[in-house]
Amino acid sequence: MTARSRPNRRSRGAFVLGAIAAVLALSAGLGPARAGGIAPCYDPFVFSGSPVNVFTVEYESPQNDRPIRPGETRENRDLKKTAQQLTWLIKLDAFLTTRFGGLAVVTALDEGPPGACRPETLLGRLMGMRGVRGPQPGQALLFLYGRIYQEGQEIFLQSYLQRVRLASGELAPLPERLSVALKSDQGEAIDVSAAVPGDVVVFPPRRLLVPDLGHITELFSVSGRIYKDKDSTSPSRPWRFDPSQPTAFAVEAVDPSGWIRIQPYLAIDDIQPGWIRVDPEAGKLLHQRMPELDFMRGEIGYVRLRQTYDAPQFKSDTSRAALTAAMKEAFGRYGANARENDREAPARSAALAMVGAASAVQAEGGAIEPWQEARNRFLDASRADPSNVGARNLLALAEVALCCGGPRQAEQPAAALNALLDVLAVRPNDRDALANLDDFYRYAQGRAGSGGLALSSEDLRAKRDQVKDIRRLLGQ
Amino acid sequence: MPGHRRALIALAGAWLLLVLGAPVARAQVADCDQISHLPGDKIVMDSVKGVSGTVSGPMQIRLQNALDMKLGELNQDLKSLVKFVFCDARWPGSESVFDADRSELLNDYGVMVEAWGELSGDDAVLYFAIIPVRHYEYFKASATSLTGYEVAEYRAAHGAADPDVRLTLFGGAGELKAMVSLALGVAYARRAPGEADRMKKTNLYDSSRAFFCNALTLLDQVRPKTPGVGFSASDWQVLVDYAGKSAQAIAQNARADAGYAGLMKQLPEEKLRDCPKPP
Repeated sequence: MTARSRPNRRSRGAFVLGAIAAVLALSAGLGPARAGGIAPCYDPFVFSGSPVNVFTVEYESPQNDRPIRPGETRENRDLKKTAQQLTWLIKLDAFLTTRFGGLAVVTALDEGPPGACRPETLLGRLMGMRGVRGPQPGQALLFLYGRIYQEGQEIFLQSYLQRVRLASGELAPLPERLSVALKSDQGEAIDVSAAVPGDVVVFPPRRLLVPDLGHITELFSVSGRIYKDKDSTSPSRPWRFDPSQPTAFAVEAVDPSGWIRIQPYLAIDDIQPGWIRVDPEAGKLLHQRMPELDFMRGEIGYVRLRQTYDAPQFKSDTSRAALTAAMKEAFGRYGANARENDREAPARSAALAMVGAASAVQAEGGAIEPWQEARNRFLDASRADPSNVGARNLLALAEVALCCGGPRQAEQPAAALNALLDVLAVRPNDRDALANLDDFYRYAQGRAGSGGLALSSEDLRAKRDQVKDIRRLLGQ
Repeated sequence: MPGHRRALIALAGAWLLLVLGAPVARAQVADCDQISHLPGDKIVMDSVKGVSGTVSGPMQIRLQNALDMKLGELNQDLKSLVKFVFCDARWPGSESVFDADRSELLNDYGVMVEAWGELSGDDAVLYFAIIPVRHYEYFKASATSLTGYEVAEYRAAHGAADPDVRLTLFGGAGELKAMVSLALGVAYARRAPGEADRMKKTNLYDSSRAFFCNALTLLDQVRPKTPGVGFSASDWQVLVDYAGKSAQAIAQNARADAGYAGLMKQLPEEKLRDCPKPP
């Protein structure tokens, strides 16, 4: 690109973004089944009709800004092309492997001011946007970003996945929590709850070989063309992958054989309606090398499931059972592809916690089986990473649900109290655990002497008063 | 001498001490101003150097990127508690640099961990000084086995050339996280008794306990498996024993401190003996 041509392309980009906004405004509320877009990080947009928007952010290559060092080539240093290829592959793969509707994937490219692709900057920019190009109440935003580094024939990359869900009634982040409704002996409602971990999951670095990426790119190269028909011998045009030209399109159909039909919201230049071919073999290879892609798929299923409860404005074309099955299958594949090692422990633990939370959220009418399933997963999550205090809080919450949350008592209250105290023994000022202990004592006060609790009503009252004092002192 | 003159002389003395003393203190970290200028607790990342010019460009880039990836992970967990200071011109080089005076100075400036790297051929070594441990335990309490100076090796001859083992160098922020957790546990434990504010005191004791328990878990995750890769088994065991004993001691100290008003006073003693593991 010449310096002379840049302003023209920028202004065309601005025009296209304006046009995209107008089209998005028309399509808002229609709930496109799937949609895709490409935008620079400094000027992103959200598909307002899609319940889940995934931002595949160009992986940061920390070397790009420094001089070439002895022993390096420019290609070694400048990984921008590799990083952009990767985000494109991840995006197409998401369409192919995520079978339920409502998914929008925006490729956010590192163009413009430095730091625009930093997750906090990108999220801040999005949250500051109002109107049809900005996020909507109830939506979920997932950000896949990371760092990439090449050394000879090896590419090392480290991914992060950030989850932000917005409240249904207002444009504010929704704390990801799980709760249990108890009743005091006076019949007052007591809400015991804990945060679901996984707001930001950090994956261990992966190693890709340049030939691997070359192979994947080759397999995907056909996906860089738009075909007139679902036939690779039909007329085709190359897809322009130009950061200065934002693009938005609807994904109208996904064929299991790997064909994706796209319909641009604006037919500009070479972006015409047609079919893109994705080779499933390429996806398989990518998933083996980057298990976090399956994790992301699992997390998409998780947030879609939660939205069926707390974001009713986004209807699901998939049943809760199917969403749950898809989520479990994806997390299961993540577990199978990710190596069994300690570096994977935090992500593995977060996945198990989400599977448990997904089960618990479906407990209706005092059913204990979903909570039993949840407890087992929370236990697995705690064992996978004992430093995950959030998982241990969820385990205690499940014990509370099983002893005291419904008409059928599946466990003794003493087990719940023990689990709560275990959390506080490793983190005595934990906000969730202290609040839950306070509430648990309140619940147990009128039921002293039952369920294995060797505490009198007076003991329970005194202990609760102490916990209340501690919470007050700590400003919780 | 009238009272106000005595006060004036005392003030002048204090001023002289401030004027003359401060540059001396600053001069000791002149190779990285930010250590003394940036308030609060911090992790200092120094440079990576080769041994007598044997290091190749790619190897240096490898280690620098390995440190960057570790920091990215660490930053997610600790960004509200510590700041990162990058000292490109600083390379401590050996344990002896961290003598009693320098350790005290760095401790006063809130340095929790200082890290740097060394390369030789295909071998990489990361060095860590856990400043509060070195200052309080090694120098002030004369704990000979607990030096607060840790070495994590990634030696090709011991498997570091194996791509999977090499990923340990790139990932595995575990050992750095464990040491930062341990450092914060020690620093908070030392600040708690003298804290006058009940809320702050209670939070310091509680957080210290949480850091020690966390350090134990994190150390377990970086248990040495391959000789020449990561911590040595003996150094690792010393750290584990120290974290375990400290977790127990901080609970006892909190319970004995009349100003502490947190939950450890209410918890059964047996729960505080160890850090309870998941059932």
